[in-house]
Amino acid sequence: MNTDVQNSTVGAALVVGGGIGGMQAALDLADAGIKVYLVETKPAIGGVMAQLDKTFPTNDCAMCTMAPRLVELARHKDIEVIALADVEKVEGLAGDFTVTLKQRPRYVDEDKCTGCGACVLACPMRKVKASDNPKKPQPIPDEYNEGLSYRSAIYIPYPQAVPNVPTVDAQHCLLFNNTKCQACQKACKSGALDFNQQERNLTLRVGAIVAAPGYQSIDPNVQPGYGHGVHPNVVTAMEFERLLSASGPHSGKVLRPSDKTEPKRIAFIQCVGSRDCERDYCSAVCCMYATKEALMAKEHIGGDLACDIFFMDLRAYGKGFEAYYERAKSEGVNYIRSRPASIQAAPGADNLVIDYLAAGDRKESREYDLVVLSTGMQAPGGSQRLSEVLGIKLNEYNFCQTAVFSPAQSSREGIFVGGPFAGPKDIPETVMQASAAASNVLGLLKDAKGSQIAVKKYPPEIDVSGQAPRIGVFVCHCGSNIAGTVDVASVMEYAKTLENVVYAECNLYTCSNDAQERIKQKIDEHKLNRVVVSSCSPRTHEPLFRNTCREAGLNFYLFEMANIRDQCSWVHMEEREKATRKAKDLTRMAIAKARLLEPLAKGRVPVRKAALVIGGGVAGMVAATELAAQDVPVYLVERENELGGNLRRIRYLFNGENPQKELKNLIGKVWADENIHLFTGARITAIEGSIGNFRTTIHNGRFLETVEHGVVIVATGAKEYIPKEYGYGSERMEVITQLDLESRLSDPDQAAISGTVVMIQCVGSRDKERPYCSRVCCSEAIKNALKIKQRNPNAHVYILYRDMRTYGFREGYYSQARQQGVIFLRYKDDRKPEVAKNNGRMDVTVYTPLLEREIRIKADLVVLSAGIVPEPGNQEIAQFLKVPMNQDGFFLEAHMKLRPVDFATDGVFLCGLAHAPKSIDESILQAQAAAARASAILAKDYVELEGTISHVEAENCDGCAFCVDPCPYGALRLTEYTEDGVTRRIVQVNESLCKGCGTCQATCPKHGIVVRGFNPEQLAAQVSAALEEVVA
Amino acid sequence: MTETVDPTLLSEVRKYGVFNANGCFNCGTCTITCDLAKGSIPFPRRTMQSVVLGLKDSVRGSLDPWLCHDCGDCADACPREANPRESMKSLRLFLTTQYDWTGLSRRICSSKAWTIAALSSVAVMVAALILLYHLYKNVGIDTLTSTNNGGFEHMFNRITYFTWAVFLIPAFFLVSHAVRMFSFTRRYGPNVAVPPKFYLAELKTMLGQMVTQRQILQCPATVQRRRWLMHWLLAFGCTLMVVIKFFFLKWFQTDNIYPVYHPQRWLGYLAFACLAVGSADILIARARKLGTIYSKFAFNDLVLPVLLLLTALSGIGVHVLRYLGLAMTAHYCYAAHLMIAVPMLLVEVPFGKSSHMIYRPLALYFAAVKERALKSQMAEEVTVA
Repeated sequence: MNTDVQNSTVGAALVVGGGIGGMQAALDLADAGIKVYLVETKPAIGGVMAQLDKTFPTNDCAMCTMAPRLVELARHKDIEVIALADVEKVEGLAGDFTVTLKQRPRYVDEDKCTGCGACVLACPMRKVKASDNPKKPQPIPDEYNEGLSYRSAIYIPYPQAVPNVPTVDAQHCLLFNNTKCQACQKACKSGALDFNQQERNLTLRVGAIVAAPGYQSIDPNVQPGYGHGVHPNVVTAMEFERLLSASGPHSGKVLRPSDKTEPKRIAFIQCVGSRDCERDYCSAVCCMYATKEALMAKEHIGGDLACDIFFMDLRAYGKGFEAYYERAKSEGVNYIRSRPASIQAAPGADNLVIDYLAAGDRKESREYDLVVLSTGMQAPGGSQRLSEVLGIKLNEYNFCQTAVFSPAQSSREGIFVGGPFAGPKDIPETVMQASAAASNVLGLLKDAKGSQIAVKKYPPEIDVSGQAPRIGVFVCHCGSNIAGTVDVASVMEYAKTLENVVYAECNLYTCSNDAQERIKQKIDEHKLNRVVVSSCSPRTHEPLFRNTCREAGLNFYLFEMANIRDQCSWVHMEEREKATRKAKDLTRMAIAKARLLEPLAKGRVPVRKAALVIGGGVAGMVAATELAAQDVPVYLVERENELGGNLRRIRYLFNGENPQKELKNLIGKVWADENIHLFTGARITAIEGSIGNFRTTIHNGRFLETVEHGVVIVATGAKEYIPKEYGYGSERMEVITQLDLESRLSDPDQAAISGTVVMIQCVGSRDKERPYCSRVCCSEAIKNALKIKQRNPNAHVYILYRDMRTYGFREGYYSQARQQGVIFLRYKDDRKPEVAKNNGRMDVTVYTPLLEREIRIKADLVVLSAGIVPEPGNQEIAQFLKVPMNQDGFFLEAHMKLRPVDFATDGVFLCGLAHAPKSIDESILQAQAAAARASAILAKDYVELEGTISHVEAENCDGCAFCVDPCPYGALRLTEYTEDGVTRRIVQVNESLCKGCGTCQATCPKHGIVVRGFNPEQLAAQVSAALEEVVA
Repeated sequence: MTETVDPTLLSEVRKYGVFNANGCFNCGTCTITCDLAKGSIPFPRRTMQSVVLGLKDSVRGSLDPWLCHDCGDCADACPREANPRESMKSLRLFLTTQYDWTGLSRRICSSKAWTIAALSSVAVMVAALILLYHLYKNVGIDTLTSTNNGGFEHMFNRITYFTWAVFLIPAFFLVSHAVRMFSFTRRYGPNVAVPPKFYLAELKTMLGQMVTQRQILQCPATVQRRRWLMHWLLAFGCTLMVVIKFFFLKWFQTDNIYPVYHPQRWLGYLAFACLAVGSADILIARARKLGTIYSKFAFNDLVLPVLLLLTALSGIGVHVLRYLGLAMTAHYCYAAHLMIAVPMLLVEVPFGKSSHMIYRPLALYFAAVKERALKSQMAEEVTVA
């Protein structure tokens, strides 16, 4: 092992692909001290997520969650974005690669360009209309809008693009097509256009490579019967996503292509290009994105919009997906279980007709105004070339090959993989795999960490003391999120009239990279000493704007935000005028507070460079070994006497890997690693402290031990549901669970199973008590069914299911099982199968909706696919760490999409089954991701604390201690001190624990404890401002 | 009614041909694509699923396979390449064996050897009969060659009885099979009481199909029009041949030469032409692998067209040879004709694939009766409500 690793490693990494996966890997690596080169073949990073309107299952705005990341990445001192470039050659060994890149010319000098967009407006191609004359130039389809709108020949792909620099599309530019047009060059004030740029080669030395080139949508014409490109009103899901988007071709108004009218009936067709013989895999995301698009379409067009989704199996397998599916059904999205064979044009009116099978196999047909094809994912176009250049293996569908127990590792040492390049997956899993790849890199390059990073320098802080407030107000359109409801310009004009406001402006997206530059410029230009942004939630965007202020020399805390989106435009969509008035109110309140803002200092706490990992299953062990590989001391606590958790019960895998051998290796690694301090048969009795400095008390079975560490990784796992249904546990019947069956099938002493086996899916899942899907049971059942057939081809296996959820490449095994004669029979959730004893065998009676009748199977063995239930012990851990759980009893991450391994509480991370049901490779990925996220903290010597925390006003505090008990973070302590011979009492704040929630301030009757940045005067000013009449 | 599954059904069906439904995930594309599947009998998805599940009674009672006319659109549209058309074909053979109570069908339909053995043993028996007859009658070669008008008179009496037997025996089996088919199918499908008058009313459906073969025309594929024509010719030729040979046998029991306008002449030529063209066309299409329908075929797809073609050719051969005055050759040719036609009628028609000629119209008939009953029941329910 590791013979392919260079002795001295290079502290830099190459990330190939600038989608959300590549961005995550780049940020994780850079935060942990690795210099990152992010290579993107397109003019800007952002990938597919930048094109999305909303994301499932929370309906969060994709750009709103992503934009701060884009900005963070763009300004990250240790990340260099190299756009318009492809990898040409990779030489060397893991730890020290020499990479040759080929960069295509942009014809715009990135250093000179300010991203003002004057060139884009000047480009004559912008106004070209489609014509039949072949001699005239044709308009250029805008890739960002999937060709639904046109763009200029010099263009910025989308407003938030990074780098925010236009690109000349030489194929369409008039200058390159035998004319003398130089409109852009003339318009550019900074002389950034450079038509002499040539293709150039770049050579980089990096220690490791992360391949995250993403995926490509399947061409809808693999199903010619659906007529994409023939019928104008048949669109792909990505085209529809653009139609929904506020930054789309009709600014978020859903208008169908043929006559630009609002559709009243929309059909979605699933599995276009997936689950057929050519691509025998499931694209894993389409069921949920179609559900999301249907919900969003209903929101845009109105509740009476008819949305039908034609599907085969509804694969709502992920965390929160099942609830989302149920929500869509309750909001009137109509799911029809039928795969249409073709789409016909209805006579006249551009409408479309779909024939389908209704209940009882009755043929019906419906007319639609618009049909959306849920096209699946395929390997990125250049995947074969990339695999040759990188020297890595692909699977049969040209996706990158990985193994279950090293799911972020390619076939070549030192090259790792993240995102859909390794198989179809959604955003959080892409993010997890990218972080996991980062963790692998950090392990490999541990000795070179920090060797190539720059030191971030802010300009000296401007002293604003004694200055009268000079406030700048920036009002955000947020595409049409705000501007669609609120008259943004009038809010801006109104702000200008308020006292102390010396400057105000509107921005399409105040969070975009170019807007940050503008804010800085305006701070400087107008000598602003307070900044107010009226836009969205401070929860997601405040850090960004604060940082912008700081970069302009203002203190972080001289910034205030008004949330005129979440709290105004989104909730008052129908009332434009009143919403505008409210937006003015909110802005006035923010300005009132801004007048009283003071500069605050951020505290710093040293980081204890050690980690606590709770749980010794596969996730916990992987997280521990990953961190240990980076020389971080790890305290690994396992409740049981033995390591391994649920993995001990997994005996074989689909792909032939031996899980018990891997488990033995992993346990051996844990035992052998000097950095890992193992506590088995141990229980955690208390966790105190906060990020950087935790103190945990562990009862190791005999005595209490206390350990100190800077981060916590929660990997407490989950367990198999113990069924109460179908006579499980009764001695008279042979009813077992899948895991029981697995151990029986893997026991060489047991005879092969003969006769008839009936497997029942969704036992303890997707019901009233546990409404979530347990994700793994469909695959587990198929795995065991294949094993039964392998040992005895004459055995009969019936699998009774509700939806077969074999997402991704698991679909291939589902096909294999069918081909080997495993029989799949669907049952309805309101008519569950019944199991009864009958003459030594069991009668399984089940109603089959397809035949609309009840059938009976005489079974020799009934196997229940029991779901995954959370550990009851999670409650206690949640209390120790003050982290939330969801209604199903699993831990709740900070953000469903982009922060899948973080808790909202800093320094605490999450992985494995404790987060949600998942398979082994997914647990390992999440564990590695948690390790990567933790290393970013452990890489630093200090953690910076928030400035807006509690502060005791010594002259007012009399030590009554009213505030101490209510503090939810245990951050307050009563102390005694002697002054002038008198013993006095006063409250003290532990600054690293305080979250600035303000509970103490609310309890204190004497102005003795206040939260900085939210003190009573500031709040009072806001309230008074709220009560003022609007004079506009 | 709750039906208990028989897990062995699929392997049983597979004895009679390809049944690849395991690639199927019940998406329903096949049923949507099929222009023949409609009303209360949607296929092939349901049929396929019943077989895969092992619902033997349902499958035995199912009419669907007979309603399918083999166009292959489902096979082209299937995303899993499960080829439902092939499965429906195999099912038709399976059903044929189920309707037959003798067990012969089971052997003949599942085995090439059995088909050949059964056909050839009947042929040998026919040859033996001819030989014995001639020995018994003591009709020598010289007697035959001395006549110049064919010299078939000596056989006419016996041949009458023989022909009746050769037509009535398979007819008996076919009727008994049809009765079994009826009893199976009555129990399957939507539970509905059928008033006897509906059986009378829908007779026209069956007769209509028998006369026009119009079901095939509903298949949408482009080859269907030609296929329908050929199939119609074949059916018409067979029927015509049976009718003239059974009811107007007298016409043929003469050594006289009729004028061309006599029905004996032109009806005979017409029947021959239909049979020869129809069967030859099928064989040519199969040889050239025209389209999905003809590209894949099994041994038993060839048996009937080959036998029919040979019967027609040998029949016309006898006629021509007799008119040419080659009496001896005509006799040999006649023996050969019998050795081909009789095994076909006794083996292939009641027990082989060819029995579909009776099952198809019957199935359409039963289905129409059921559909009618269902509609009237629904109408009644509406009135009651």
